Amino acid sequence: MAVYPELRDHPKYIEAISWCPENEDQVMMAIQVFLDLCEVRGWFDVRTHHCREMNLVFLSGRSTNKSPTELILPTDIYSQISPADMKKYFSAIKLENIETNCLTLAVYNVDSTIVYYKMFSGLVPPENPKISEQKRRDKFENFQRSRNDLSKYIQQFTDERQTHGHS
Amino acid sequence: MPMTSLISVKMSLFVTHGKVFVWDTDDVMKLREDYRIVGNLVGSLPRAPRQNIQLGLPLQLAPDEVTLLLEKGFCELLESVKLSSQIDDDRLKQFTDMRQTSYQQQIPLFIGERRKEINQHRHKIIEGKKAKRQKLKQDGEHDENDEHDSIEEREDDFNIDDIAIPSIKPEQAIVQLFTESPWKSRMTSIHKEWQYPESDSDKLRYAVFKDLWEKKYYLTSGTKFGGDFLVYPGDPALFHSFYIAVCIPHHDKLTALEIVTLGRLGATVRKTVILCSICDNEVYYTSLQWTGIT
Repeated sequence: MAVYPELRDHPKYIEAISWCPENEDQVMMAIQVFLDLCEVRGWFDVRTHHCREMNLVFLSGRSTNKSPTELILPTDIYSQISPADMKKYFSAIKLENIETNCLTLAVYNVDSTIVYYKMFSGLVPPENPKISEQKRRDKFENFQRSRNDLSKYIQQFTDERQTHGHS
Repeated sequence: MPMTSLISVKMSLFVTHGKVFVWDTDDVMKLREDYRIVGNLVGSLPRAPRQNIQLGLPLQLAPDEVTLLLEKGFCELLESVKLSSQIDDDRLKQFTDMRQTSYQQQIPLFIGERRKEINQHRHKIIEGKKAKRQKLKQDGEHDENDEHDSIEEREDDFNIDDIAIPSIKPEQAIVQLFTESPWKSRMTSIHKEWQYPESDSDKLRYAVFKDLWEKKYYLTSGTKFGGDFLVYPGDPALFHSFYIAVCIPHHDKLTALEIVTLGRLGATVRKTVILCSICDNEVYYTSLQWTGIT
């Protein structure tokens, strides 16, 4: 597996910087967000895209294999956005086959922490508390299920260790 | 939906020191049920004055609510004429006469109540009188006979009803505290100079208020949650609010950090923060929600 000690040598960065050479900071941030989504969050099918209108790089991806594709806009904490700018973003940042009024803002901090907030164009009510409760319960159950075999694996590990000895 | 009636009477809103109040209970209910205007109770409850957990009339209306009601023609604004510092004799006489009549009317009512009370406790009273008489006899002479006792017992029944009940004194009479000026017909006049909204930020606020109201939402003050309005899908007594509305001029810049602040606020209280601005004479909304990614 190739390792890139310099992020600038990463192929994705090289590709993105060719799209907007003057916007080095935004491109660097976008690649950091890209890596965060791929490696840390485990998102599926993460891609970089060029928004020509606004001369920036944005991303698309899915949080789980079955979720719909989302659009992500990387930005830093000091960048200034007005409602007029948001309106521009909603109209400029889009992909051909995706119909959505949602844009995920990925706020990149100097210490490389990234915070994700969703912005919607229009009035979008909060999720029904029953649904969020159900989601939370499902998540917990999945977690419990994956731990069912844990004791078996521990036993397997200790057995293997003993049979193969301490050579 | 407003109730249909043959004669539509505009509700009265009273202006005092620049603040607008509703004093009539039916009007308060009608504003809430038919016109989705909630307001805020700021008065003391007459029967429970020494607490402020539950407040009573009057209902104070926010400037946005007043402007909306006036614009839609549901209400009219009234202002009381300044009270003169000199009380005229005629009014003073009316007042003292009213107090006197009330006091006179209360005397027989109090006597009636007292008599009822005495009848309820007649047994105790009779026993008490007997015990007292016994005690006096023991202390005094010892020559009584049974006949004498029974006569006295019969007399007790009469005595109960003949117990004299004195009239109450004037200072013990109940006094009515008016929650509406009794001199209303002489004092109010139509008030035409309601100026809200004037500044740009007020105009933005009012435009957002009106737009959301026309979308059938209930709106209250958003100060508790750091926004301009709280937006409810139904009566605030029955529902939690969906949105915290924050009004922002369309070209005013927010830092990404401020957006995170607003988003976090909404996430903690399970509400969606909406940024409201005016674009091309229309209200433009952006909703902020937390993604749930930690």
